[in-house]
Amino acid sequence: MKTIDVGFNAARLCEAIARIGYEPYTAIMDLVDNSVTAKARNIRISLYLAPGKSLKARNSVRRYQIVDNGVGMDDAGIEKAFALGADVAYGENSLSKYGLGLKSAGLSLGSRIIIISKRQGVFSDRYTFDKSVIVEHGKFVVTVDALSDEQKNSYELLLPDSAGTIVEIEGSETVNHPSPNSTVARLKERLGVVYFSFLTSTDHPLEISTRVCPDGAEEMFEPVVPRDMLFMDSPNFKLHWNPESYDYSSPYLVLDEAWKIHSVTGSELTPINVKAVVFPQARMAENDSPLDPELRKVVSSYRIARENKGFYIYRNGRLIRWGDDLEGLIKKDDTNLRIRMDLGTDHDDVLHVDVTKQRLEVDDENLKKLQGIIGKARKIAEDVAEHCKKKLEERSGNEGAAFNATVTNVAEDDPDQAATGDPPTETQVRRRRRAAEGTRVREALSEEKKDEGLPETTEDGFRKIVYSGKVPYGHVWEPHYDATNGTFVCVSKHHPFYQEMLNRMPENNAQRLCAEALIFAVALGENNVRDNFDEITPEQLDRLFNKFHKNVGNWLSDWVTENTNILGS
Amino acid sequence: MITPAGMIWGPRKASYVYAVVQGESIYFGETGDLPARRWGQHLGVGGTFTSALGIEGFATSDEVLFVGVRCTAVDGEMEAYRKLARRAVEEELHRQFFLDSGAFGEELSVVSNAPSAPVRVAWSFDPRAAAIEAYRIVVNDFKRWRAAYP
Repeated sequence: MKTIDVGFNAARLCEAIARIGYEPYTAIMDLVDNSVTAKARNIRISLYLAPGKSLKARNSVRRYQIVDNGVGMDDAGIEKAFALGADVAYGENSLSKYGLGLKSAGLSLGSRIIIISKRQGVFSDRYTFDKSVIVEHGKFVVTVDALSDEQKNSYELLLPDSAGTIVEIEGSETVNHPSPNSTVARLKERLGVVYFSFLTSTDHPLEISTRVCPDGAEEMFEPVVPRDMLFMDSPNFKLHWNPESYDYSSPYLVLDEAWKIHSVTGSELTPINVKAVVFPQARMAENDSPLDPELRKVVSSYRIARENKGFYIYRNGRLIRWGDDLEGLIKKDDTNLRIRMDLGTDHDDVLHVDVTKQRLEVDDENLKKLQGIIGKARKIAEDVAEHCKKKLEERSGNEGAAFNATVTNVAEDDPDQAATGDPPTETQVRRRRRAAEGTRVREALSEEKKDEGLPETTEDGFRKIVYSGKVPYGHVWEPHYDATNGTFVCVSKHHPFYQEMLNRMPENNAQRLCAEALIFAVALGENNVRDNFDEITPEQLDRLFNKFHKNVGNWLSDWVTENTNILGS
Repeated sequence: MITPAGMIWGPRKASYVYAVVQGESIYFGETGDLPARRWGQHLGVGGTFTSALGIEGFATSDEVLFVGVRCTAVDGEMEAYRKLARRAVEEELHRQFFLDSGAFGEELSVVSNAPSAPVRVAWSFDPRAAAIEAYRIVVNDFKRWRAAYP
């Protein structure tokens, strides 16, 4: 077999690798990755503006500069760094991968990439990868210039450590970029999140700082503040989700699992840790929130918004995807859900991590698994949003008030009984007994309200529907009779029909009022039968209605179980 | 000449989760009765398992594995919530499969739909812990079955 060298066009290849999808801020972070790979503990990023240009003007950056105090490179190391697909043996869990980042990220920012490195206190020459020189020579070449004394002094001020590297990108005026204002804003917003685990490492934490220098000025650096978008380092962070003790302000860990995934050849890879944190609704930070002002500020600091929801995918500790919806696994309304996935180098192939290490593609089979893994977290996020919504609409335990207004003019007579004259004696006896029992129930309800910290009496007086935790076990409601106000009904707060259905409908919503009307109608029917149907004894009626309620409660419990999503979540 | 075909035991009215495996398909479910009763329904024409497999009944000679796991923790819940509690375990059981489908040692694809997680109830037990244990039992029984009837 013979092989033929088909060659390549160096200039066109430069154009191609510069256009693999970098934004200026992602290109700068790719260069920062190289500094992290070189074990730097201090990285400083400068944007130098062109004469007469401000942050608000397009193409106004004259030079990008990244200075690190990593291990530095010797001449051979610098030459390798400029080679396309640099032949470098990266360490385990390295942020680098293909040996293309310096050239592709650099050429996306400008037309000249300059490296000056320092080892054992000695600066290298100045190496320049210049696109115009490559075009001129028709091949990949770098130019090498000795540093002048003035340059040495200037670089010494930038890099006083004994080792490190300075990368500069020039010729940016030839690349069409948005105003550096957005680049700076993005860098400030993202660096602290992207490198969070490095910035907070207990063993030699990384420091990153940024600055923008107008022409001829040297500004002070601003340190990057580490920020965990899952807020697992927050003092308010809660490890255990419990719907009964939700506090409307804390981030809650709702998923923490190891996903065992297999390579394309079927071998088991390092398990991927998947964590999900649920946040309150963003509205809990607004002025109409029932939270106190300090807690509102805390909720506001979580920056709960659509652009911050979804998957935060880390590769070797470095964020590569911010708020990804992973092919629709996260829906637009999952605003309060953030999921962290920690990948290693061994997941690159199966998850198709691309050259920029900023994109990945999960195949359908793994997407289906991931969907199943995060399903419960999504459900809890929806439930928390619903809790918050209800809290915002809450009117201090006023359940049942809206129904009261709908029954003011509705009579409660038994259609078989005469509308005039005194009721039969047996009816009167039964009603007196039931009224006495009703009084006891109302006293117990007052105590129950007191225990819950709610006012014992309400502004609109007698309630026809009352929500209570003291309804007999398994019953959805229990009808009672008041000597003055007639029928009233206690609806069980412990039955799934309340917890999964009634409780999730706003109090004055038509669905809720219809459901309450049906319950009240059946309760009224039961009361009228108990009082007026004298062909069987009250004891027999007790047994009969007990069986009736058990059947209703049992069926509704099963129905609720089968239809928990009927109200939309 | 004679080979065992497994056994199932437990009270009629109690909480169970179960798995059914045929070929490369696995189905997870829950029941409040002895699983044998539910499995009978699965095997019938239009049963959820056979429908999920896209065949009408078991007119084939394929080997089928049924594994039942009793969930005593669920029976400690109030009766009205037991079905919901079983759903919680069933949902977690599906998640265990998605987290570690390789545990079976061969590629299986799940044909049942995970129920929606009932997240509004605070259980007196940990459905995840129950599902992890149930999954372990299913995987072990599957491996014993495969070893006995490769």
